[in-house]
Amino acid sequence: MSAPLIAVRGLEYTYRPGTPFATAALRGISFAVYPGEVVGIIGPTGSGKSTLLQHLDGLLRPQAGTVRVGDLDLADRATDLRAVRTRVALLFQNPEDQLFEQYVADDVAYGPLQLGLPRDEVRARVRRAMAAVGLPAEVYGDRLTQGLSGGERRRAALAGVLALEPQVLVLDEPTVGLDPRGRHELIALLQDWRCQADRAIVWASHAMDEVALLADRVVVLDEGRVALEGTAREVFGRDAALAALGLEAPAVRQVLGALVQAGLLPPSDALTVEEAVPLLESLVGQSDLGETAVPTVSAS
Amino acid sequence: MTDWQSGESAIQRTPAPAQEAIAPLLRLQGVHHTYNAGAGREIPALRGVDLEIAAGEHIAIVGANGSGKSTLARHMNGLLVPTAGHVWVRGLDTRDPAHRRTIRHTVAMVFQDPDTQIISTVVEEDTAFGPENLGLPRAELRERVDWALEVVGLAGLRRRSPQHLSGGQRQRLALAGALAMRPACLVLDEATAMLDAAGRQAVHAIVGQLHQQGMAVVAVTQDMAEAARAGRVVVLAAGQVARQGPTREVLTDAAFLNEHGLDMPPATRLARLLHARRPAFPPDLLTPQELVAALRGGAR
Amino acid sequence: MSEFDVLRFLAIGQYLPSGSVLHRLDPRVKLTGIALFALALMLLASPTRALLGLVLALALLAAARVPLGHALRGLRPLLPLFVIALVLQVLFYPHREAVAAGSLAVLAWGPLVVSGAGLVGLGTMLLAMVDVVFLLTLLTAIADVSDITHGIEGLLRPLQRLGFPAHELSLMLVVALRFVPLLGQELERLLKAQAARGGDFGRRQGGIVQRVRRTLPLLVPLFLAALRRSEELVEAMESRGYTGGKGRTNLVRLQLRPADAVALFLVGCAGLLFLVVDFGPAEESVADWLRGLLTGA
Repeated sequence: MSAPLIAVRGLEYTYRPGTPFATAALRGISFAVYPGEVVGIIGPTGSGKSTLLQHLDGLLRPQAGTVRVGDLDLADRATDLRAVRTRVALLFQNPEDQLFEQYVADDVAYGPLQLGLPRDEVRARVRRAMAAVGLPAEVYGDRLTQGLSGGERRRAALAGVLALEPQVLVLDEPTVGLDPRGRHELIALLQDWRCQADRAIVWASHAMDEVALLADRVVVLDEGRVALEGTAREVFGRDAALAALGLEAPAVRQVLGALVQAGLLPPSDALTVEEAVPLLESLVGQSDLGETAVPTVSAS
Repeated sequence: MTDWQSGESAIQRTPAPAQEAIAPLLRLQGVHHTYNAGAGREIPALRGVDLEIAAGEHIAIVGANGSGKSTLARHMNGLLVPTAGHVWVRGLDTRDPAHRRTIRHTVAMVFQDPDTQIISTVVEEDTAFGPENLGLPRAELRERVDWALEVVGLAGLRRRSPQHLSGGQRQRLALAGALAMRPACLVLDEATAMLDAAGRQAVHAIVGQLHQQGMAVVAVTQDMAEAARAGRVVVLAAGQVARQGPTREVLTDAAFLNEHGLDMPPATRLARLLHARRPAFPPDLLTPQELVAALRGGAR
Repeated sequence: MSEFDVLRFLAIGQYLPSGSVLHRLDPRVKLTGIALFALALMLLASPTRALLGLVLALALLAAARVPLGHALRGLRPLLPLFVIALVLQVLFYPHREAVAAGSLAVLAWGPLVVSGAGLVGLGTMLLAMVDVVFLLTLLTAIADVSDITHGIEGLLRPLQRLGFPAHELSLMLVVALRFVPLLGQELERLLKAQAARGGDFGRRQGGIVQRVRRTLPLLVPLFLAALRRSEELVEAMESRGYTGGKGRTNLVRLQLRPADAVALFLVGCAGLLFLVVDFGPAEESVADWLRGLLTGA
């Protein structure tokens, strides 16, 4: 097992400590992100997902426990955050809201410029980043940021973060508000990005179907603690535990879960539509079909 | 368990306004709407929409981003008036300012972001905002506020500040504010997009109850599972109605949906795959519940 | 503590619902009583009045069950102001003339002269400021946002008959109070998002143009966000039938009760006391006491 890109151990964080408004957001979180994987972070609202994400690139500092990015210790005040942000880049929810430059290429260049890179390198990175999100710089570089569609603006914001050329991309609800085609496109380009050079993605989301499809491992948060952790298959197989946490299962699991409960199927860890079909097929083949089916000539 | 269920008795106590049997509740004829986007550019958001909504109907309006869904929704309560064509609410033309008040309490709207719908700093005072604008006497204000808060399950939090409510509770508060107008039709413009699974379920349950009691519901949505709850689906593309019809017909036509950048509801995908393997299995199921029922029937 | 927590700085004052008698007063009485008190302190300042003001403010805070520590904490932002006031008074007050006219020379150190009159003047000013801060703390402790806006609208409503847009103004106030925390949150989000891209907003170097440019990643999106939210708010309000203040009714009805009458009576008495306290023997004894204090020191 290669060394983790990010290692979180015993992380604790409280907002406004010492005041009457103190809220303990994280109460001891431990997990790691390895090269090449997609880690999904799920949990009900208020479970600490956003707080956790903001620790991964040093926006928040641990009050107890450690967060290590490679060999950089984020609990140490002396750590250069700029170095951290060249390895871990965070994309917030509705990132199109953070675009501020008049022209697209200028906005994408903001990050690399802040890193103090020479102009040539900045230009090259902007070109690469915009190509990676499907907005080639030759066509979109001089367009007005406010003139792009919603989906295009989101991709432009993603390019702004990809231009930092991080190893780990941390995403907070990246597909919320996109239409189905926009969602597919964004997921496809994130998959492409990840497949190159041992990069990793940390993906916090409420969209269970997406997480089930993409994540290699899943961490389930509940009230600031890790409630479940494991491969996507392991975690989504725990229907009862997820339901107890108030989380909605992916559609496939809902169907399988109901059938298991009715005693018609043995429990399984099938996660995708393709995996579920053979299992369900076995039920269909058993006899003539029920009320909703087209009646066939039946043997008595 | 949320206490919206107690709302059932409240609804039966104060019945919804009587519906007109003959004329449709909402009628859009040849509706065009063009935005002036500055610098002499004009964007045609709607290019000739014909639509009728009968009293008590539940319809879903779907379409890719930019198809004109939100613009269409805003014509239904007169927030926007067509640049060509007509919109009639109970026979009243939305272009005529004299009818505005009646139209606004016949058709109520709930938007995506609860924070920009909540005006007051006290729950019950915010709910009262709409009826106050109608100049109703205090006793009736009190009655409507009490009823609306009971229906959405926030009666126990009436003196609370909206700041201290969760996202789901705040959207229910926005819903209460719309319901306090005692509308005949409720238009939801992606009203559940910012909510987690629990929040969405709560809103669906409340809206479902209201529909059963005779309220018409128009749900503009990107969530295909949510669209599957409606009786009729209208698909918009590039400012025109690409297709409208019974939900079961429209949302199961894979080719058509794909062409317009839309998905099928996840349960439908499963059903179709099963149908491909077992031709006698019905391919046009919409929800996990229907799928389970069909499979259980088959396994008898 | 996170350096991004901007809402820390937006807290006007804390509402402390202790259910005291003062909390249950009509909001109009709360507003007028405290406003008159603060006005009197600022316009009619004198050593005796400032002291009297202190006694009254502390008594009211106690009656409202506001912890003393909380009230004192409200003074903290004022400390730099106190220091500035001290320095200004030492430098610009005509001390020599005062000493020549019979005032005590508290400090005579070479060219620097500080007179007793100067110190008393400074003390009065500082004490008046402290009193006003205590009163503001009191007001926000006994009246929440809803109270304050209803109170303001209630006080302005008689003017509505003269065509004054009382409702519109109070609605503007309510909306502003609701949106300040929202925009604060938005700003915090933007700070974090741009920082995550490498933005550094702590640097102080560079010319004025450079420094302004550096804040553009915050200002531009914040401005756009504020515009967007206000458009959405207008849509929501229009959808709920808002057409201005005319013809509106109100769920909340303000009614004066016996306790309010008592409170107004007490405010009247305190006002009278305030006015007369500087005439006659009272001032003499206070002046003597102060003199004794300074000579003894």
